[in-house]
Amino acid sequence: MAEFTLERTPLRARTRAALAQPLLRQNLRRVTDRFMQVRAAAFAQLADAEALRATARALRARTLARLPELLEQFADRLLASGAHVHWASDAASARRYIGQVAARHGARKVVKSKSMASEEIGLNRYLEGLGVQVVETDLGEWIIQLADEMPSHILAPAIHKDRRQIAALFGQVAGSPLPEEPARLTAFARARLREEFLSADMGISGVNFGVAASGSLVLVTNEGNGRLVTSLPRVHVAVMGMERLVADLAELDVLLALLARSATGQPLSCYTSIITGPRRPEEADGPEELHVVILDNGRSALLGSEFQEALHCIRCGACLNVCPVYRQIGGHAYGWVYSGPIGAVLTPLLLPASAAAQELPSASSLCGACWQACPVGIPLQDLLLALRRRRPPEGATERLAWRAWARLWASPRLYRWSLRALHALAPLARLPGVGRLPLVSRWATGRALPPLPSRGFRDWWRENG
Amino acid sequence: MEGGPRKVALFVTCVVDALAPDTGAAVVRLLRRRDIQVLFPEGQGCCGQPAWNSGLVREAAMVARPTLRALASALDRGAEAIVCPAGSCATMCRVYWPELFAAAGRAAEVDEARRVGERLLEFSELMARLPALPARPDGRRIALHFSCHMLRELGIRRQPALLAERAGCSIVPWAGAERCCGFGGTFSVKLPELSVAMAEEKLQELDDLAPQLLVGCDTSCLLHLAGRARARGRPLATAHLAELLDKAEAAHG
Amino acid sequence: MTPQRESGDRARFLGRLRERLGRRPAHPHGRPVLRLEGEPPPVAYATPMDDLTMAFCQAAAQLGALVRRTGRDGLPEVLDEALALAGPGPVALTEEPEMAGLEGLLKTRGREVIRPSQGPRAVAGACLGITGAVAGLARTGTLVVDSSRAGSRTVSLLPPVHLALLPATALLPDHGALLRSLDAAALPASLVLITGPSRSSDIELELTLGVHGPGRLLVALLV
Repeated sequence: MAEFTLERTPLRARTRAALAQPLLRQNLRRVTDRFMQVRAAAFAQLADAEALRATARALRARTLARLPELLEQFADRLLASGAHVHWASDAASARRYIGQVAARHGARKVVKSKSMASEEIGLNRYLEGLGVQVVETDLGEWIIQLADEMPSHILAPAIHKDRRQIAALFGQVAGSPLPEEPARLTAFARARLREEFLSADMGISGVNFGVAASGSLVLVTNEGNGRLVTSLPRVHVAVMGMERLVADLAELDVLLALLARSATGQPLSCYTSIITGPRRPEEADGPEELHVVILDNGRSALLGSEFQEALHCIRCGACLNVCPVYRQIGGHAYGWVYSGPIGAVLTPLLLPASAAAQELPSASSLCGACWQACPVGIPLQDLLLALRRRRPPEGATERLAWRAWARLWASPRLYRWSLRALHALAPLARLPGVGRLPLVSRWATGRALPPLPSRGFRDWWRENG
Repeated sequence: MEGGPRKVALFVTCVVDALAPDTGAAVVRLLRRRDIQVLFPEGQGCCGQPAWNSGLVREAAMVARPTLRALASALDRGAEAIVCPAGSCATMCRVYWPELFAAAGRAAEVDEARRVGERLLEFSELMARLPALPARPDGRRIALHFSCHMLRELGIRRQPALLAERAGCSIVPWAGAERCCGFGGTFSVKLPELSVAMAEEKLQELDDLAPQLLVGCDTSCLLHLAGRARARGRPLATAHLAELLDKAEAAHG
Repeated sequence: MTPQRESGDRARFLGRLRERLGRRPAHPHGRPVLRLEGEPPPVAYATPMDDLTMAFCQAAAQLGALVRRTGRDGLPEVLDEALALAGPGPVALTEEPEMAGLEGLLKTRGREVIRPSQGPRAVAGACLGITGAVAGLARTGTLVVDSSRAGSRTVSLLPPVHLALLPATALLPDHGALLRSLDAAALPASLVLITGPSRSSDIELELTLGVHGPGRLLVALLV
């Protein structure tokens, strides 16, 4: 059973393990380069992308400020449309509820379309423990389910796998070898999963946006499995992070204009489904029951804090695609459901008890590319800095070193002295032992030491001032 | 600053002061050549960014405080601008100092930080506003690296290229020019393999482009990239933009 | 009040949110948020569209959809093209009024007609699904399908080829125009914006069409 690696190895070890996989890095470069290219082209279609981003940011801020009121409206509209609503304060509550719905309907097989929230709460494993078969139907998610692995990218979860590996996985399912062409492999998946859709008792999906004014669920997909999961089985369960709300359809206009553009460079995804309640009497198909699970699971802790903006995220994946760190290490190295810059921010906040999660904000050079790419303008680099303030270095030696450095450099006289001392030691810099000094040895992991001048700027200034 | 400032204070930064004094000297010469008086407030030190980036607010404020005072006193003595030859330090002062001193200082320091920040310009930002002087064209094909903070926080993209062209260099088109080099301050020693991998990719791109020189506005980035270049067996000459421009102007005169 | 369809503790859930929102953030980051009053303005695009019909045709073509501008009398020809594309097999129709007459046309071409009431497996066995469209979005070549009106969600989804009958008078500029025209209190159970054939690039970033939804899309644009 695939597990998150967060608790098992320290961050640095996970980055080293990722860096040791040339195929992964090659794929990551291709994916992220491609996504960045198409994103740029799609944004050029907007009259004023910057203004739209600023508007989107303002909308997210306004909606979150009114979240309780809007969630009430959302729930009331959902109930009025005939849907069920469950308020899940934590993962256990959400899992239990969904398990009960499955049990009540005697569901033996569940088909799922992509839902990061469902991965966050460990839903698949829980349902399987109850004897329910869970089939992921998003092509990339099905691939990693078969491989028993975690997703390596929000949008392209199997991007770390090549066609040969995928053909091998599908071949096992088929019971015979399959050609390695993506078109043929996709056709196999289509046929195979079609049967699962038609025979499933329950469909579980995520929610891209909930619309408070109408009680609607908006699903943004490309493959069609999202539509099948939410149309064929007689029960549809939607798992929604509580912050994924828009006030009304006008707000949806703005966010839809940005989501697919930021994610895949499309003006709109293939299918934008707006679901309002279970099937109506005049419909021959569609779920008889619609259950919406509204999930807190630690999100409320961000409200009213300096991290509230992390809840603005619309899960487009753009920050992953532009991140120079993600590009090198991929999603698995982040250890949990959410990877890339948003993962480095959300994971420590949603898992406050996890010491390993608190390391994640160090996995950044604070370059700010994420902030620039984010369609709703989240200053992720500021949030990473704030997280570092919340958990500064803990080792006693390190703290002492910082304190000593600060005391030294808080005094202009001692600062100048320390530089003079450094320059006086310049001739010794060539000695072999230097490379083994703490910090210096870390610098020297793959880099030559910078040449140390024997005079500093102040010496020059003294002569030329 | 119509017609440009007549008196500029230099915030040389700890990295340049300690490891790249020639860069500081080049900045002074470039300004003096334009009849600008350069002040060097002695009390300056570090901007506090290493501690700030590690989440150590108190230590960052302790270190930044004397620098803040020194730069403020230069403004009191008539400096119309402060120039800083390091993009990340310029960002620290302009963007983050108010937040730092709000967290760890007094209200008066926040005001002073804002006052200093308003007058502080990154090197290429200032130079691009000053008149071009005759220069002997450098003539080399250079790769121009854009340091993250000044690029994204300060919006400085056009000016370094403009100055490189004034120096008579041709800039090779480089798709990865704006991608982070991987230095990231303490990141470079906290996750060294990752830091090096980020530098390695940029250098691999340059293997194909084969520039004669790598130029940037942040000494830290250049030392990191040059260090990796040497370690991987393909040393690459690097230069701060200030030194490039200064040499070209000096060669003319 | 329908307590049996609501579970969990709404009051406690929202109470926690209200309590948290009552606090002030510790260090507001100095990135000011735009002040927005009322509804956000409609999204503006860089290129103007002079002719919605032409724009729709271009956008749809770029997605690999086939658009045929025709009057109602030209429909049999478009139908034949769809049938040729789909190959042999039954054809699924929705219950929409514009399907009237199609059943007859299909019978004369020797095609079995499947109705949604026959169930999803029957619809899945069709080689072609024909639906109406309540709107088209010119900028993105999008079709808008309404499940209540169609009586089905599966006709535009299960068969490998989808033919949509879209009146040119139902063309709107973009998704914003559609969304802002909708009555939030009167939405169907399923309203789907279909923009091109189903697709995925999950395998090595290579684009494949017709993953779970239709791989071919035809639009009879009724002028």
